[in-house]
Amino acid sequence: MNPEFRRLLWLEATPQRLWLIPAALLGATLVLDRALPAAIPTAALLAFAALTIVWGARQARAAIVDELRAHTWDIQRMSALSAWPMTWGKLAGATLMPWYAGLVCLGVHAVYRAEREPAELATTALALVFAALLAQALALTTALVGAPRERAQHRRLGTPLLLLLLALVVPTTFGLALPDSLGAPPATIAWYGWQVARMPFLLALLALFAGWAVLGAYRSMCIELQIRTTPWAWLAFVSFLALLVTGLAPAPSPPVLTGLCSSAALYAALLAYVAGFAFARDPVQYRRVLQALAERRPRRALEALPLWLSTVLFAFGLALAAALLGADPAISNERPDNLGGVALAVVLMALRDLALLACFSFRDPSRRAELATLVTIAMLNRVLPAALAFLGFDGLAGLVHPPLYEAPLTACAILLAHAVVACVLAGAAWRQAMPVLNSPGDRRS
Amino acid sequence: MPPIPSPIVEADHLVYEYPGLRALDDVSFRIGAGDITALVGPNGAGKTTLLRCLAGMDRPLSGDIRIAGIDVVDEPRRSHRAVGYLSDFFGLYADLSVRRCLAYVAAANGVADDALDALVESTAHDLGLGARLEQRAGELSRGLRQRVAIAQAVIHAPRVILLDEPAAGLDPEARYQLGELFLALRARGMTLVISSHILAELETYSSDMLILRAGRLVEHRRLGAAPEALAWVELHVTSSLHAARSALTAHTAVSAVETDDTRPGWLRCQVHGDADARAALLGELVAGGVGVAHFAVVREDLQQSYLHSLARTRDTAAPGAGEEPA
Repeated sequence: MNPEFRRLLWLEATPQRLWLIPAALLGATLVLDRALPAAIPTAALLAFAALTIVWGARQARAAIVDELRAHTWDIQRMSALSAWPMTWGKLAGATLMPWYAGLVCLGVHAVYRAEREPAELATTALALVFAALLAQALALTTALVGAPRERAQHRRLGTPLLLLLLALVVPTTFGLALPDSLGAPPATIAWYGWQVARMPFLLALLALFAGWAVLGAYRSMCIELQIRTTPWAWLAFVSFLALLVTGLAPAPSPPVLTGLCSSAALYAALLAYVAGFAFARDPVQYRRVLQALAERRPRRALEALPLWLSTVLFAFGLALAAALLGADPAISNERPDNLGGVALAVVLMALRDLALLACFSFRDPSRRAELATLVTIAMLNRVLPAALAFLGFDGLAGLVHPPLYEAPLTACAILLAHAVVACVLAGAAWRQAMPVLNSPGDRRS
Repeated sequence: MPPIPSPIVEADHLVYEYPGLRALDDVSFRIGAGDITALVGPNGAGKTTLLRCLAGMDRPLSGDIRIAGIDVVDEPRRSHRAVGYLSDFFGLYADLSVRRCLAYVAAANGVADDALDALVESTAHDLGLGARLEQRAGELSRGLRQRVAIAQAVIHAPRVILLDEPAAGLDPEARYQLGELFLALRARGMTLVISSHILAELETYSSDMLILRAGRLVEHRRLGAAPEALAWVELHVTSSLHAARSALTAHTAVSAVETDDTRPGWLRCQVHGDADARAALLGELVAGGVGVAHFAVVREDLQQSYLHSLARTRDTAAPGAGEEPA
């Protein structure tokens, strides 16, 4: 048996819990049965969601955070268990009791909604199970991603991100599990022109996202266990997202490749922000990249490259390809220039913003760096242009925040200048944080 | 340090940096199988960073580490089967029994399920935990918790054990027992690297000393080997102390001379060479008119050796460097 799963089994599945949980849930059902029997099926589903999604996500996150706080995480990092057994052992073991309690709730739902078609019941159950798995895997991922910062700064991290993710997962799930409550949605969904039955399509999507979340947890575990990784999984997820969403556009028309490239570039830029803000911003990491490049070891450089930077580079390549491939007729009415140009401008904006984030982080590793970046972004994109336009300096406002859709190529030129300035500032801050240390006398005290 | 024919730990040009600080600066050394190496140095010298790099917990900026032939930087998980590590801030699974704590760590390090029970029993017996197996780890005293943590580090029979301040917080009796345990582990063929500030105890079981200062390797030598090549000699002179000191300072075989303010007429000097060289020095002193009432080699203990090594390098290393962030 997986040692990590067994350890959590010892801790979680105590005899008291094994009989107390079903007893409490069945007791609550009996009480509700006397007062409001019609509400039981919905209440059972809500309870399943609360137990497996909310409690389950909390448990999955605690599987890392509690270890860090109890100083036992080093025992696990020192073990010979590889990343996958550690990932599934934690994911399954830490959430044993939420699943156990959730299954009791599903049983209650099935008993009280016995008249439902078995297929409908199965769809509901599967949607909830995938959603719970998605939430739990995301919670484990956020805990693993936050571990270096938790270790270094003893800060509780990942909670806001986790809440945001739960806020996305829960309503989506109920959109699947309780379709009646949302009125009469269309029976089919158009994807690249194909009409696909709505429920199986959404169920498949939820399963796929749950799969991606588990892969994310596994890859984060690899990083935490010092296993060398390149960012292929993250970039594959960006591509998957672009492939998926491009197909859902109202009227996708040729050239599909341009649409795909520009869409992928936009999603990559968005995920670069996520990576930039979520992952630790260690200036030593950049030294590792330079060291690997100096040693002519490109794979090592790629392994050490911060995820936000590799994502921006990936996005830049895609946007450039889209820009070179030409205009996208599907959206040409609204955007006179090509969509690739818009994507390129967005990518350059992401590079600027994330270089500023790196700059602020090198100067001050605390969370104030994130706040400073957000304020600067708001100033550059909203406050300053509005103030300048109000004062009649429209041209100057355009230089601070160029309109992306009206003239994407001009915007690209201006944002390229912004990005260069931001990178120069980040480089200067990095050199200050990481002085060249050739001899003891050169070191900062 | 003479070359080690078949080293089990090999570190080459290790560099580790924190922002603005080089915690390890071009550190290279070899450790032979079966040695107990005392890793010493001032606070912030880089000892913990070095142990964590050797354990594959932290990745150095550059340099190579091989333990039992495994590249630790490239294959940290594989190397863990050959390495046991006790962190200075270790934790235990407080809600698990000692038996389950040990069984978990053994299984996580690749011990087969059918061998677990016997291994847990024998390891607990070796570490004096036989009577505590069913007790929850959270209920144990500090000393017993330390023993459980060490048992977890050694249960999979690693070839190398890295211990960071293992005696911290233990009472004298528990520290003595710990020393006995280390010697027992060595007798079972294990190689130990122990970081500690308690030099008097390190001396009772260490075979080698590795001194770090400001992230740099100051000295690595076999303990007990030095007196033959470089000995401290204590003298009691009955003639002029100043003349004796001048004669010693001028002698080519003498590298350092110290007077003892608490004992008038007593001197200490560091002499290069073997017994013949020391005999020649004594003859020359007497022939030069120095009255010598006492002339004997002083075996330098670990504390003195450590302090002398640091004193030799103090002028060349800047203070503050190599300190780990709090």
